[in-house]
This record gives sequence, C-alpha cells and structure tokens, in this order.
Amino acid sequence: MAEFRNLDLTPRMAQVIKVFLEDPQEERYGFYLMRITDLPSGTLYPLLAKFEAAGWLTTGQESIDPRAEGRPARRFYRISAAAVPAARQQLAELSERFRPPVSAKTKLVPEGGPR
Amino acid sequence: MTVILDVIGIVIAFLITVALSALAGILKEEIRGWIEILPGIVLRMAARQLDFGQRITVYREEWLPELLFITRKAEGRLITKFATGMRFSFGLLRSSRQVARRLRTSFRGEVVEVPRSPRSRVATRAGMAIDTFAQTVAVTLKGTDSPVRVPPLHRWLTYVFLDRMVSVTQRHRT
Repeated sequence: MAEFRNLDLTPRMAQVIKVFLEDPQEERYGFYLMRITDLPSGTLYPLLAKFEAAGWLTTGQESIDPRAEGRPARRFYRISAAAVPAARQQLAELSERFRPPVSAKTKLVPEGGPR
Repeated sequence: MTVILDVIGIVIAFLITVALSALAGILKEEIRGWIEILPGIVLRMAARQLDFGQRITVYREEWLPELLFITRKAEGRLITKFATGMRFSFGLLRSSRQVARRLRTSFRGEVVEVPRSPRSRVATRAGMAIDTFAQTVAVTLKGTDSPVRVPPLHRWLTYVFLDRMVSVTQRHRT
C-alpha cells in the first residue's frame, strides 16, 4: 500500500471520495462508481489512480469463482483508515467554501425597490 | 398426390424453421462475441500506453475484468451493453497515459522493468499479438475457458487459417 499523504480535493475528487465515506468498509468497483458519480471512465480511473498513489484508497481482488461466474474477478477499491478523517475534514472545508452567502445584501428585492 | 405434396411442404417448412432458428442462434452468438471483441480491441489499444508491468496489474486485473462484467453481467440489452463497453474503453484510451503516470508512484507501478529499446518494444507487441492469437486458437481447438469470448465467425476463420497452415506444412514435408 502507498504511504498516506494529504491531497487537496477538487469538486470531482470530492464527488468520488464521498461515495467511499458512506460506508468505509464497503468494497467499490469501477463500473459502480461510474454509475453513482456519473463520471466517465476517462475521468474516474485517473482519479482512482491518484487516490491510490496517495494512500487514500486500497485495492483488492473480488472473491468469486471465475468459472462459476463466467468472468474474471474484478478489482475493488476501499478507503484506507488514514484517509477517512482527512476526507471528512476536506469535504467539510469544501462544502464551506462553496456554501452560498446568506446576508441582507443578497436577498431579492422586488422590481422598483422595496415597498 | 396432394397428400404427398402436403407432407413435402410440411417437411420443407420444418427444415426451414430449424435452419432459421439455428442461423438466429449463430448470429446471436456472433453478435454477443463482437460486443466483447470491439470494446476489447479499443481497451487493448489503451493498454499499449501503459507501462509494461502495468499491463498486468491495471489492464489484465482491473480494466479487462470490469469490461467483461459490463458486457456479460451488467443490466441492459446487447446494444446497451455494447455502447457502455465502447464508452468505457474509449474513455480509458483517452486517459491511460495519465493513469500510468499516476500509478508509477504507487506500488502498482513499481513492479516494472520497462523495455526501452525499439527491439524490445517490438518484442512486447509481438508477444501481445501472439497471446491474442494463441487465445483464439485455444478456444477454436478445445473450447478452452478464455476470459474473452470468441465469436463463431472469428473461430471459423482461425480454423480455416490453421487448416491451411497444416495442409501447407504437410505438402512441404512430402
């Protein structure tokens, strides 16, 4: 496993890592992630590689009998224990950064000025 | 006389039905084979941009099983599966260099002894081509389990090719 190092999450990276945080023990597969996040393989797999290289994700082989299933075992991804708190913190920061401002100035004013 | 004609008509209709259903079966298997073959070819092109060692850890152990899951097990009809498989493969064709670069820093990329000289690159390509051909031959001759399904037409062409090879060799010996 690669050594854990911090990453600055972009909105797309956040979209992927959020899925893993829903259940950190759950194994996630590429095609499943593509469907859930609506990201194409050309975007998703480089992100998964980036997370893996930074020690945020670990990988493993699906435990199936390839003969019985009629297909080879797939590779799954799981979030590493070290990445869970970092991911939660970064998601919170990101959400804070993109939160729309709520102040008196941003309130909608009726046309022609307030009555 | 009319009874005989009726019987002949029934027999011919029966034979046509059997022939059509057999043909439909073959066509269905052929199409099913091709929905794996075409995305598989694109995926193999994507794999050529990976480092030598990554072709096993990334292509064989991750991308190919995922593609076969899409074309065999995912929900949807044949055309949907084919379209999804093609989208999957073309996406990776676009980004495989990026994946290779990123994985070089993790353990999955370190395995490698990268062949750099043109001669060894040619040898690698020849190896991949021989591997594909060997798989097709194995399926043609023995029906061996292969990760990729080989459609009947493909199998038939390989059979014809092998048959010609054998006859040429025999002629050469005599």
